[in-house]
Amino acid sequence: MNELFDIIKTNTLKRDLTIRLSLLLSVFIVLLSVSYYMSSRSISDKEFDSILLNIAGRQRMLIYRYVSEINQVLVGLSSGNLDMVLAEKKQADRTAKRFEDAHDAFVNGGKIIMHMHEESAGEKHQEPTQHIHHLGTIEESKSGVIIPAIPDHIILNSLKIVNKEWFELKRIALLSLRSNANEVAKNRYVLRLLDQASRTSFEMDYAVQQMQISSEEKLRKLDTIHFVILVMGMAIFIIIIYFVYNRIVRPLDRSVKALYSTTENLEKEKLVAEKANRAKSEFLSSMSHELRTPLNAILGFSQLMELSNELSDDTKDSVKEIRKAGGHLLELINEVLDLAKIEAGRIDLSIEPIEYKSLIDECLKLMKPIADHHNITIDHMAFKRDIIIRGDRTRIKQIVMNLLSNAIKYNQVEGRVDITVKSVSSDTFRISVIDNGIGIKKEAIKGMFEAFNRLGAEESDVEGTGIGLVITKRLVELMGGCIGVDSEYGVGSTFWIELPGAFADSSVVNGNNPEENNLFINDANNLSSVLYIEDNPVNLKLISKLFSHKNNVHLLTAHTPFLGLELAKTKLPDLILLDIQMPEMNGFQVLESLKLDSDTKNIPVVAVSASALKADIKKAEIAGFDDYLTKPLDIPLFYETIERYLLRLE
Amino acid sequence: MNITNKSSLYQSVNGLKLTVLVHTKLFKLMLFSVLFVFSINIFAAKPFDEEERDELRIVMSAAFVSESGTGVYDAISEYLGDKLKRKVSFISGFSYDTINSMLESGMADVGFICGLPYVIEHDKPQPSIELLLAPVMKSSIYQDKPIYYSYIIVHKDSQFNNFESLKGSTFVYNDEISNSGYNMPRSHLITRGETSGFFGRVVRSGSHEESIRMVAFKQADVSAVDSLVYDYDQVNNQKYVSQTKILKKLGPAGIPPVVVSSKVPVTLRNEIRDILINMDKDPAGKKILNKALVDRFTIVDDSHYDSVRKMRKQAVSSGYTIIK
Repeated sequence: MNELFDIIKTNTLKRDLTIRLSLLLSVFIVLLSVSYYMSSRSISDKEFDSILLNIAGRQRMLIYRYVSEINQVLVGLSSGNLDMVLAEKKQADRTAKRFEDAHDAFVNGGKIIMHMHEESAGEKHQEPTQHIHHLGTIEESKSGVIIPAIPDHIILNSLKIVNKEWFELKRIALLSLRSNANEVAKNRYVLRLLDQASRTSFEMDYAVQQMQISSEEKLRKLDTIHFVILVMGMAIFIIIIYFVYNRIVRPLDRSVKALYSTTENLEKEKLVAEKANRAKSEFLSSMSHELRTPLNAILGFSQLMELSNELSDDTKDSVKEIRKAGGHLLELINEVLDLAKIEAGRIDLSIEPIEYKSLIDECLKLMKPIADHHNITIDHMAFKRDIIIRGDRTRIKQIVMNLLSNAIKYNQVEGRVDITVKSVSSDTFRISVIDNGIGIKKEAIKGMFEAFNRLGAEESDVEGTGIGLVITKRLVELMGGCIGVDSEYGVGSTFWIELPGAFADSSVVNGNNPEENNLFINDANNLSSVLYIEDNPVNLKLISKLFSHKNNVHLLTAHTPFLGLELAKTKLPDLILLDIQMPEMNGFQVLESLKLDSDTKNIPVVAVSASALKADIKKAEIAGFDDYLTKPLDIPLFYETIERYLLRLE
Repeated sequence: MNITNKSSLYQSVNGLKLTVLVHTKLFKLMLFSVLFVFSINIFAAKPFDEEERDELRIVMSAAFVSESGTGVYDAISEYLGDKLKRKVSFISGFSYDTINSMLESGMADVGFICGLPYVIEHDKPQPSIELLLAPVMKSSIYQDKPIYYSYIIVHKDSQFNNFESLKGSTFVYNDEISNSGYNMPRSHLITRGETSGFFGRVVRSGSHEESIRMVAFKQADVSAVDSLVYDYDQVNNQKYVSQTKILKKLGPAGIPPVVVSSKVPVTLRNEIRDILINMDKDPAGKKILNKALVDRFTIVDDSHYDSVRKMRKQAVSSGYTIIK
């Protein structure tokens, strides 16, 4: 694979292909041109040879024609017919000239008259009407063809002999014409003429035969050359195709095979990773449940105890410490699990438009007690225009509260924390948390976002886990933002986050309206019943305690799913609180049974579970749970949820 | 008068009238026919000399060049035709006798002929040819005169070194009425008193060129050939002459002339003469004459050929008309 990528990256592939394909095309064009030339040459040579043979045939005819005309002259001389003598002699001279001109053209190259029109005295030379085609080396002329000299020595020698015999024929002809007026003598010459004509014609035949042999030989050679050139050309063609094939197809083939192999490996690794991921998720879910469940008891009961008026101040302080420790442990567990989820890529974010002001107000409300406790002033410099931030509301809240928490914790006595917001671009806002605390040394800033690195704060009284900023950074980046810090040691620090957002034209605020606090209406005239199905007696006890001072709610409890179903059917409570993880039958199965029963299907069911995973919450929602409460319970949230569902009944 | 007689008289008269009438008409018809036929003949039968004016026919005997050189004289004929603005046809390859017949009959208009045929024709009671011009050859042996020689030639390797050594050899000649080929050697033999038989065999070749060939191929031992033909072949066609050598030169004699048929109109004759006389002054004409080894044409008198006549008469008077 790398081979092909390397080739593509360096762009040599294109250049190599261009060169090789150009070569291929050039070879093809050359092959085609050579073939065309050879074919044209063959055709031209064949036509040329056929013309030569035609002319040679005509020469043979001229020999006998000359003899015939001389004989006519002799007849004229014998009979004293001088008109005939002159006319036939003229014809014979013309025939002889035609023969000799053609012969000369054969040997030395030149023009050969092709037509054979009879010409009488006084008549002009008639131009032939037949068109002579251009035949390569043969040039067209008005009255004949122009041929090159015959190069073949054997044919030339044959033609020399023909020439010799022809002139012997002419000599005999002249002898006959100049003989005295003796008819017997003239008759003897006639026989000699015929005999010589035969000899001349024979030599012409031999020359023609040589021409035919030469022509065939030439054609054979041409065909052989043609064949060799074709074969060589095809070989070169194949070699170049091979090179093209080699250059592209093989690396491609290797790359494809490597790709398949890689894909197979990736598939396997994916399966392994998915398996590991599932194991991790199950571990996280299990750990989340296992850790949270006892913490639920610790925090729940400690909170109850804190609310009790029967404890002494010392006991209350102890309980407070227990709760604080539990809270810290819970915070640590949450953060570790959060970090684990983030590292595993298991974090699910619900990106939505969030009204900035309401979010900050929530955070400030939650942090104010802590700030007051540390004697820190928090001030929010609100923007003139409404701002909508895009992100996961819960997580942004977590991020801001983390920054505020740090700003408070690492501040000086009577210190100050300011929250500002500004637009850094048309779609990005920077939220800054500014403190005038101890500040951070420059060399320590780079370690700010390292897990468990508290930059020496672990030696101080300041509590912390050392992973809050790491989680914050991951979350900000997951939401498409960034985080940074500007600090001066001894002066203070500014932690800022940048998140996508915009100024709101019509705000779509998704969040709780703090003014819509669901107060628990203590209406004793309207008694509601709530069924809690839970196998854990500690949790049962906790919930019982939570409902113990609520006079308008009758709590029913069931420690087994079957009992719960029975109670639900018989008592028809107004609300069912249902644990998910139960032996024999889990919460989903119980819910399903409830929904299948016409009597119980409309009773709202709220899941109560130690699993805080988004997937589990989603799963519960899909299953049909009306709401979802996580353990350890957030008591106010718990009450609020109960109130909400009981109020709906009114 | 007897009525019957009267009637018969009338009948007779009428019959006579009818007869006369018929005969008169018949006579008229016959007269008309004769006149018609006569007029056709008048218009159809052109006189021979009028036909010849359309095309000038020039004949040449083999007394000037061998067959390979006829093209030069063809070029002279064409030159003449161009100047006369007439079509010309050039005829060669015939015996001296046939050429004489052509000139005599008017079938040929102009002839390049041998001196003896000229004398033979000219000395007839009704001469059919007229002397026009004679060439003067370029070679210095001709001393700038319209003369030529008869070369007695033998094979270059032969043992013959003088005329006497030729006794008993085979003699080849071209034509009986050739001056250089027959008349002059015959005269030489007569002068030497060799009239009872000198050569062992005498053969007729038909042309000087053929005679040279036969000597070259040793088909004959000796021949008497026209110096013009021999000179031309020495320059342009050495194939046969290179195998021969000149044993003896006979002559000089009047060079073969240019003659015209007596049927050629005088005006045309004069035109032809003027053109040929001035041919050497025309660069184009000079070029052609150079190829023929001719310096110029000159006017000659009939008396220039008296030597030819003399040798002929000598043969007749001595009774040695046939070389043997």
